Amino acid sequence: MSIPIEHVISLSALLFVIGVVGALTRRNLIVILMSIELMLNAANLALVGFNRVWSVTAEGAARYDGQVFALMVIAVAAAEVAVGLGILLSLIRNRDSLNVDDASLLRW
Amino acid sequence: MPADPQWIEDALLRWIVFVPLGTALASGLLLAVFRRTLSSSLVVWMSCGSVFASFGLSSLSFAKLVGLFGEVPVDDVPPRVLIDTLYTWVGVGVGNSAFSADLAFRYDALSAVMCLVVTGVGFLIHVYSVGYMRADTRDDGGLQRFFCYLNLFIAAMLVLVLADNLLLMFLGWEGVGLCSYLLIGFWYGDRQNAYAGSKAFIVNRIGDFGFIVGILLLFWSMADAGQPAVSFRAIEAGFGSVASQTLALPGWLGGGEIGLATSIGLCFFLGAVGKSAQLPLFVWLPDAMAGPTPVSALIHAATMVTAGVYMAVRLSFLYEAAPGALVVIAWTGGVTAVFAALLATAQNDIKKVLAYSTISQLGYMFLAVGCGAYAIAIFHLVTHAFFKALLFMGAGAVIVATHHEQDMRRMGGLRKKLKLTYWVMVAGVLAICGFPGFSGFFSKDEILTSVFFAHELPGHVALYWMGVATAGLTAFYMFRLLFLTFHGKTRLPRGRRGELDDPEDTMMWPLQILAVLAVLGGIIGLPQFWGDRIGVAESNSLGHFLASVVRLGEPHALDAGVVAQLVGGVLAASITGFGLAYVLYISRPGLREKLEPVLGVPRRVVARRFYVDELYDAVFVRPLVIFSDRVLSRGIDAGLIDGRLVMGSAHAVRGLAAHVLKHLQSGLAQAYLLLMLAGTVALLAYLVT
Amino acid sequence: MEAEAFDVAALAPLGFVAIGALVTLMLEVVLSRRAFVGEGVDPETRLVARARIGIVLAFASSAAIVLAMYAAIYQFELGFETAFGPGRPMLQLDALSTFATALIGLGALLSVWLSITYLPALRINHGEYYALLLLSTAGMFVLVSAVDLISLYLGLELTSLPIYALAGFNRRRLRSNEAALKYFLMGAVASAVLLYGMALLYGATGHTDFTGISQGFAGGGGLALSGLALVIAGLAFKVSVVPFHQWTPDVYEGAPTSVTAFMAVTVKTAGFVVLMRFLVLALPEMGEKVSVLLGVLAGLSMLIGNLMAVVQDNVKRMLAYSAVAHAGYLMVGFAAGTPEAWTAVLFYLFVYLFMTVGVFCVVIALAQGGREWDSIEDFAGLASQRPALAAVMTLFLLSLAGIPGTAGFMAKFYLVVAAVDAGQIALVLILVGTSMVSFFYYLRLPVVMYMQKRRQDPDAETSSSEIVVLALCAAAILYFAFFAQADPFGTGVRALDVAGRAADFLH
Repeated sequence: MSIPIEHVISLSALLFVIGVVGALTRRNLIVILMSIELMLNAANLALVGFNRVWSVTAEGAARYDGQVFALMVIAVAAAEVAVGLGILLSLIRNRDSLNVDDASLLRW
Repeated sequence: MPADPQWIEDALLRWIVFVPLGTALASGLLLAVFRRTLSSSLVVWMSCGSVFASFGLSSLSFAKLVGLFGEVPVDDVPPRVLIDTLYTWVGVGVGNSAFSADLAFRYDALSAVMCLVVTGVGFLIHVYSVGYMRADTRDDGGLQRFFCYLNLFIAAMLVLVLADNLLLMFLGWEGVGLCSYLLIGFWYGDRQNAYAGSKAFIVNRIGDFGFIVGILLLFWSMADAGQPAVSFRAIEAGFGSVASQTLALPGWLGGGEIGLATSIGLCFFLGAVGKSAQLPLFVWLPDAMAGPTPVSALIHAATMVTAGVYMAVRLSFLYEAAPGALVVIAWTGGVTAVFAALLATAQNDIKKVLAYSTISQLGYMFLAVGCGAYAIAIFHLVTHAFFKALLFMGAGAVIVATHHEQDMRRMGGLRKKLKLTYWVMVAGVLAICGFPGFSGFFSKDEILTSVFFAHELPGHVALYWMGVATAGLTAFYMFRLLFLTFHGKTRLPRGRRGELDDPEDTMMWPLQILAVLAVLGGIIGLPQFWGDRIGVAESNSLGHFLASVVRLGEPHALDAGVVAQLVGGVLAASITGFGLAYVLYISRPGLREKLEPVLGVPRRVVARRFYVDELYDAVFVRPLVIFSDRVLSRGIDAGLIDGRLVMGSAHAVRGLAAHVLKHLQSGLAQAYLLLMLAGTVALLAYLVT
Repeated sequence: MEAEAFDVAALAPLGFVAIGALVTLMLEVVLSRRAFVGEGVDPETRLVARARIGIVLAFASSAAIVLAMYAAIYQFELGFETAFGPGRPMLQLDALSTFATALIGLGALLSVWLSITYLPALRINHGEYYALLLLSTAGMFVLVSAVDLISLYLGLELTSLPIYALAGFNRRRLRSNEAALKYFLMGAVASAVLLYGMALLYGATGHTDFTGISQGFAGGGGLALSGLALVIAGLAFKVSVVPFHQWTPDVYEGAPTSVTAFMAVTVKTAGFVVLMRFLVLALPEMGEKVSVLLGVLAGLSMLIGNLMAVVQDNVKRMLAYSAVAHAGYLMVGFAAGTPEAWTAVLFYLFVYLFMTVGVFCVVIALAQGGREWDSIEDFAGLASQRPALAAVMTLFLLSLAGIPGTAGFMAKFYLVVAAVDAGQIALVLILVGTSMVSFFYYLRLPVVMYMQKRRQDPDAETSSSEIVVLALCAAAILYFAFFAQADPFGTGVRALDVAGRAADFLH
């Protein structure tokens, strides 16, 4: 009747990998930020998916651990993006560029 | 806790350390934090006074200790150790492997001898420094800083020799290293000094690695046997049960097994090699001569460099169970003695000659340790402290008188101007060369006798002849020093010839006291053979005194013939050395130019110190820097970056790499991310499989 | 219910710093309004007003932290032992968490004191600094008592987000921007990895709380082990262990020094404590394999950190690599994994706090004229100009190197003894060997301080708040070198016993 858990997890793993590859390969900071969001959402998807497997306790009561966790993550992710964009803004103000490769003063 | 019968608590001991330590801290705090420069006379009185007080306290304890020797033994163990336990410093572990180390000082015969030398000679050198440094401190508070370090050094050295356990000894061990580092680099603004100071410290790291590993190995094996211990008495009591164990060597060392005692002994010996400047870690000591001369006399001749010998003797019970380690010690000492003596013949800097001479004499001491003649090693340590401190301070007097000339080629003829300096130097030279009756004669002769009779030592005949050769070389380079400096015509630049005179009295009277000690100091360890000749029933009091701490060997079967042979050999070598020096530097100086082409290559090799420094630089120092810089910094960190590593070596994955990794070539966040994720994948792979 | 009443008291430290953060935030707004209202205020007056506001805020945050520390110490002494959470434990208040809370509070307090004169010197004296610092501290308080993946994640993010902002606090400076950017990017990815690992652990075991995970774990399964790997990687990032360390040098160098000091001591403490709790509670049966893994991480960190530090010319960067090396030393304790090793790790963290804050405080004391003085040449001849500063710097460096007579030696000593007892001989040899290498770079500074001539002649004075921090750190380093287990003043407190009690959280 419902979608098997394997499918959900596969999708989430795929999303996570897409996020990872994006974070590794894209130069535009905004896109990198989006990729990171993708990774977080992949985790959210997995959490929600797994919650269906573990939806009742041994005593038969309902459990929402995964879903609650996902809700928390959504809230935190929003805060994270806000901080990230703030950092981007101050960088743009000093150096008119969104290219991650331009931030290479600190090295070795 | 009821004390063992042979342990007498004595709360006086701590003050031997605390008095100089407190003085150092007080004057250091005043100077650094409150920027209060004390008047120079107050500084002088404080620091010399504190060392003298320390000497007085050690003498008191010494008297007490000697008194104990007469007491009635309890359970056959005479009370022969004073101990002062402050509190429990560390206590770790549970059950079987629990151990605790006290902050405790111990005053037994060995500590007593060391303590008296450190404070006694230390006091004389302190007084000498007053005159030496007065002219020389360039900025405000320099004198205070100097004496602060010097007192701190004395305190650390006292901790080293008075420590009741290995941990506390290690504290002193590192402390003296630190102070020597500060004092070598005392004249800042001079890059060379800074470099020499660092070098001393860095080279000693290698030795300290051995020391620490030795301590750990000892703890670990003792704890393993259910007898965890750190204090010397506990180790000595319990070591027997683990002494016969063996360790399996790892494959890259060729496999096989090595005795536990031997491996521990070798680890500790590595520490001693670093601190006492033996082959192959001696390179720092000649460079350390960049420091002020009193520092060279105190630290690099009389006290700190002998710490390695002291440690070996302190752990003699361990070495007794490790004949293999003793062989290594004896050979290291013997080879170092010859090698350094050879190097000393080629030096022109008066302090460097003495530095190499110190290395050579320390080699003698280790040779004695290697033969199991621990008391004799200490005997030579004491006489060496007398005459080498004397020689260094005499050299210092020359240096002061000639306004900081150290090159002997520009001296000469100083005998008539620096009369007193000349005569004390002569005493020192005769003592170190083993002129019959002088202190060095007895101690060196005793060492060679032990080597001669050390039949269980492989190659003891060769070692004996090396010792004799060293004696000859010693006579050569010491008389060369004497002749070049004091005899012949003066080669000083004209402007400096006029006002030459012996330095002020504060510098001269310590020299005279030391000269007396250098001449007569042999009495404390006068061998029984000579004692019999002059009608002393019980001679070698030092040996008997030390017998409560170390094993004395069986007396050798000496008759007049053997003694004549032994003494004759050394004397012949010494006289040859003296004669050679006399011919080359006094009677026929022209001969040297003629010999120059013949001796060209060997001389050059010797003069470049056998290229040891270059070798070390090439083998250790540069690779470390290059490795860190090229491989790690540019290779790995920037690594994925300029792609040399990746592109160069991984053609197979080039297709993929070129697309993924080309973005990492700028050394940025994404390159880091890649490594991080690669690490994650590696973790994953490891855990899941 | 009685437990409910208890719960509120249990959260006192967290409450104090959280309220403190809000109060400082408000206070800044109110005070600036009063100071800057109206046109025609000249820049000079503005600067003075700012400085005054900064001092007020620093006092307010100090008060909050001191209260929190007091509460934590009180709880520790009471032997507090309570779980907090609706229906099931989210936070566990016990000896470990109260110990860590007090420790992190101390780090935060000292960092606040460091900032008082440093921020004006760098002309970045903005009020939100203290609020961010307090918020991050609150996050760490959550982190060290977390016994559930959810609270762990929340604590971690609450810790990290303010620090990202703090790292870029010197907004006009490109290097500070860059540090923030790199830290943010890598931190975000690391926490995403961590989060995904948590999701997998949850999927494999059905639990988000540590004990539930340990019950459901039962020796593994691919899903659970993958999750575990990702979680360890995410936490290893926070404590900057090789190969998750590469952000460390860049961020340490680029961030304002007071922020560097703050994160160097507090984040490291929090990270190691949570890692410890997670490993012990969630994976009690993962002995050998995880221990080997941690050992490899330890060895790599010691080697890479120490060798990389040798070639650095910037003091902050060198200290960053040294921090990587110290993370490696601490990981040796993790690889050993015995109760004595946990004690040693906690004691090490305690000592590490003093030496690290001290060393960064010296760097801060040199800052002036709107710039940092953090290259090695900037220290030349310091001993002749400011002898006390050079002396304490030498002390801190020697302690970091682990020379006997400093607390750093004792910390390493306990670690080594515990590791030897646990049979980690190879790691101990690496530890001792790389410590010897570390002298090579730690001593470069004393050499230039004592043996070179001063090139520039700055007239910066060590401010009184810095003097307090330096004196405290120096005194602590000397005191714990000799009295880690002794009690000369009859206070009834022995440092190692305290660490031992905290490490005894498993019973």
